[in-house]
Amino acid sequence: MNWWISLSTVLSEFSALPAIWLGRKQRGLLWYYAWASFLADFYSALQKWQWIPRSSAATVTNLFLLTELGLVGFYFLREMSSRVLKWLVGLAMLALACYFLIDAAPVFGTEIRWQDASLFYFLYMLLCTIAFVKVLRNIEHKKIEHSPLFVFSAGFLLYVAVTLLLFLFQPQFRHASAEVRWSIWSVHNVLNLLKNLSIAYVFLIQKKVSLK
Amino acid sequence: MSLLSLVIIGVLTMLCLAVALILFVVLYQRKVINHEQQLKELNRRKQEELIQAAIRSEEEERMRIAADLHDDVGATLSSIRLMLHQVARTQTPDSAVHTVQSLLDDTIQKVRNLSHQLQPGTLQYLGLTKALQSLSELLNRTGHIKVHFSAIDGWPPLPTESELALYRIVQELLNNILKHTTATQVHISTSIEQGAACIRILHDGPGLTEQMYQDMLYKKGAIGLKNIESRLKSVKASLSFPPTDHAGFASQMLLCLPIPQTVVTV
Repeated sequence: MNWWISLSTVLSEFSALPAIWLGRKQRGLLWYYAWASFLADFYSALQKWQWIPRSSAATVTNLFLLTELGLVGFYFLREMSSRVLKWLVGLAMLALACYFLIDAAPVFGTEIRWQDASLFYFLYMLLCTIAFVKVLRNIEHKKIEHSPLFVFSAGFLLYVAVTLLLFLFQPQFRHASAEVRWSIWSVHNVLNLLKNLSIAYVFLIQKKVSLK
Repeated sequence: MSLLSLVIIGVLTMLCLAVALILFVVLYQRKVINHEQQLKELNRRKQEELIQAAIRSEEEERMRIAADLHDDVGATLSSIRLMLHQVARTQTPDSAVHTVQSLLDDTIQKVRNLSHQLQPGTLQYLGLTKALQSLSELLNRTGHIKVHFSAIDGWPPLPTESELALYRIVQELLNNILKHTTATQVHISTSIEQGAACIRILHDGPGLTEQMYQDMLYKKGAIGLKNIESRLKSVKASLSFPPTDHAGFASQMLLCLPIPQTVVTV
């Protein structure tokens, strides 16, 4: 069991590298998001190997959650065609970011606001569903796996659906044993790997389209 | 229930919901695309049917005019000619009568030619190869061009619509050679190539290339070529312009029609 957890953790920590490599010429919001994921995961790996102190873990995670909201939120906003929906989602993003900052400000460097972050993830689930509706309304690709928006939304939805639950249960995990905590997070690691690979695949299909 | 089992159930439920949503999107999109493809196919078939109907009605109209010209106008002119001949024999021949007689001969010939062009009887009764031979002889009689025709023995009997389409295409191609090139020699031959009945036209004038043909199809005018393309589509035949290695002939056109499964070649 331990080897499985270790393997999934290592794979997850470096899973953003293919996306960073494949998207180096195209760049864009997803590329910066892959970088943010990689840096956050790499930072946590350094902490785990005790190369840097664990004291800054909360700051890094809080910063990553805010960066993720900005990059992923704007990616979905850019893909939306309805102006009203853009405004609504934009306002929801702003409200959530403000709430997170106000709520987490006093403990920004010491505590991670998991419950607040779960609100972000709930919004992401909605955004993925809206993206699916858009994919179905404007069919631009004969094969759905060639649609970058669908590929990213599918990978991200799987990751978000499970992570949302893990964030909600986070206070209860504190009382669980380390083995249980690691087992639960290994599921997150697998889905994080899947999400980052879906971003890499997005760059791959975009590259193919641009070559044509 | 322990925390771990609760989380596992929750995670599995969320995963199932997410996977169900993704699957729904995939299947729904596939269904929509299938529906669109069916509509496109239906549209394509409808267009094909329209083209065929247009060609059929054109041919029917040609047949009607040809029959009228041959049976009515032609017959009337022939009667007048006979009567004039009678007058010329019984009374003192007048030069005017002779002139009228010669004019009538000329007119009768013209009506015959026109009737033949509109609906080649040879094609209807003797088949495509004989009709092409007859067309070659007709062109040879003009004296403007020398047309040589050679046919293979095992030419398959094709559906009437296909034979008529091939005949009209060849007619149009020869017409184009006469109108737009300086060719003096034309060689028409039939063959069977890779399960297709083919007609090869070689000539010594400057000819079209595949690219030129495609370009001209999208240009304004070029009604003859557009008609050729419609007829090709209606019978699912193809026209290509391969380079020629026959001495004395600068251009080549290859018209091929896949032999239908029902037709047994001899």
